[in-house]
Amino acid sequence: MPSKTPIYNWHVQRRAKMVEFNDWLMPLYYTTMTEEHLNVRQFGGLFDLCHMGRLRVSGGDAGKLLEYVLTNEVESMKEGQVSYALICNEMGGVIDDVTVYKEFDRYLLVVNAGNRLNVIEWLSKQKREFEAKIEDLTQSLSMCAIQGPLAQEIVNRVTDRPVSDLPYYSFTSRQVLGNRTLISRTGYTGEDGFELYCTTMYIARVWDRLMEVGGPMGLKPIGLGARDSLRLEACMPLWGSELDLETTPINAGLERFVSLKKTNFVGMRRMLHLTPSPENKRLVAFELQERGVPRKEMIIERKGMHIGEVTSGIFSPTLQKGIGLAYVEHQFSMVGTELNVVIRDKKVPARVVKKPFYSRRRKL
Amino acid sequence: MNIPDNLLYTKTHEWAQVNDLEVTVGITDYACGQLNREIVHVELPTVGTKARQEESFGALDAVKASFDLYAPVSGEIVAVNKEVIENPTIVGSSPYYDGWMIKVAMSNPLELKKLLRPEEYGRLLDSEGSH
Repeated sequence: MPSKTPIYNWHVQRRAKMVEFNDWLMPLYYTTMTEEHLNVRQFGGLFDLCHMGRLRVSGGDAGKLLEYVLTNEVESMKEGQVSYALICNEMGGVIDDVTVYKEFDRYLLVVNAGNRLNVIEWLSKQKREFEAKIEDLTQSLSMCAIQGPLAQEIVNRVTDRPVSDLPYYSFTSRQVLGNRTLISRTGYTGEDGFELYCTTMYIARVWDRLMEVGGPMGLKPIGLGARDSLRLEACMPLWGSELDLETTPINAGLERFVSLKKTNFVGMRRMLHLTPSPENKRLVAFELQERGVPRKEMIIERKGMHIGEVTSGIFSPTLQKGIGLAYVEHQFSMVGTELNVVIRDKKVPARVVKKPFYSRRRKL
Repeated sequence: MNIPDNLLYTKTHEWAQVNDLEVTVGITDYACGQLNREIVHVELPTVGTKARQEESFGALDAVKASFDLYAPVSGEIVAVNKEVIENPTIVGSSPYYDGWMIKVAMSNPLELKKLLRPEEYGRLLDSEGSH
């Protein structure tokens, strides 16, 4: 039986199309994916993220353990800081991509729903002599995200004190309806926005409050369908599409989240030895030059040669054209490179473009 | 469920409107509903090419996935609806009128026997657990 989030009844009352996703019943869309996508870009969107895995790592060596298991720097993190990092195996393949929250003396790890158990198992295995405790908080701590140009204004109206000064990839604590809520300036849409965490008991109230205040301003609930198209326009990777056990963070263009200054971390040796070579695939963003929609696993070819494969593709609601991410041989990864996507036996011309497809206009 | 009486249907959710030897083809309201009417791209053949019964003549993209379109009858394609290529959303909003896709000059009228009558198509949808 798939699990239901504390907001499940709300989704059903709103007549959301519910789907099973990594053993959770989640909304795919409420109205249409395109409408929801554009609403996030224009106004704002609210996402139920209770399905994501939330783990606490504590103990005297918690920082050391994470420094060893994650690709990014952990021990130098300051309290209130959030980091994005990869968990790799010895071969440098990606077990999961995560966000790490540094609290006073412990860490919160937010992991993909489908990888939660694997990550727990991997951390327990790597723990060895480290004095650290790994707790699964997924059931007791819940989360939602509010994203889009109106996100800050809405959060300010529901919290005891404003969050306007909170820097990107930082978190703080606020009261929402008298309940302590952890709020980070993070997200998966390419928009400004926040992720809110509170005791599972209170998450539905936080959700209702955000809708009550935000609804009249244009805030809409957003399903998994638009979550995927938003992250793809922002060129944010999805484990299972751009990331997997056979792909290194370097392949995926995530080297800025890999600290080679560290003394050691799992997979480091392999990453130090990666040099550009034809078999060293690179992730590129491409746009179709004709109308069409690329899809995962379609072949990328150039002058009759198979040079890669599509990992994600959509008809972009913002750009109104077919866009996608693909792994191609290293020498074809330069911006401007012309290639073809094979769509139903037809070669459709495409061009490698600069990542991301979409970036929000920043305030001066 | 909107299943017009004057049309014939395929198991793959295309409809066929027979006018002497000319058959107009589209996809059904049910199929559009299954795609939440979010059709973002339609790929159709060019006029003059041949369609073969039960074989793919084009494709349709919803937001999350692509689907093949299957010809209800064989014959030469004599017209293609350019409107749905330019503006694919009309397939979802008007599947039986503005959202038509191709017209085929039927080469073998006996093939029509293979198509489903409206009541048969209705039963097929019931058995698919339509809602």
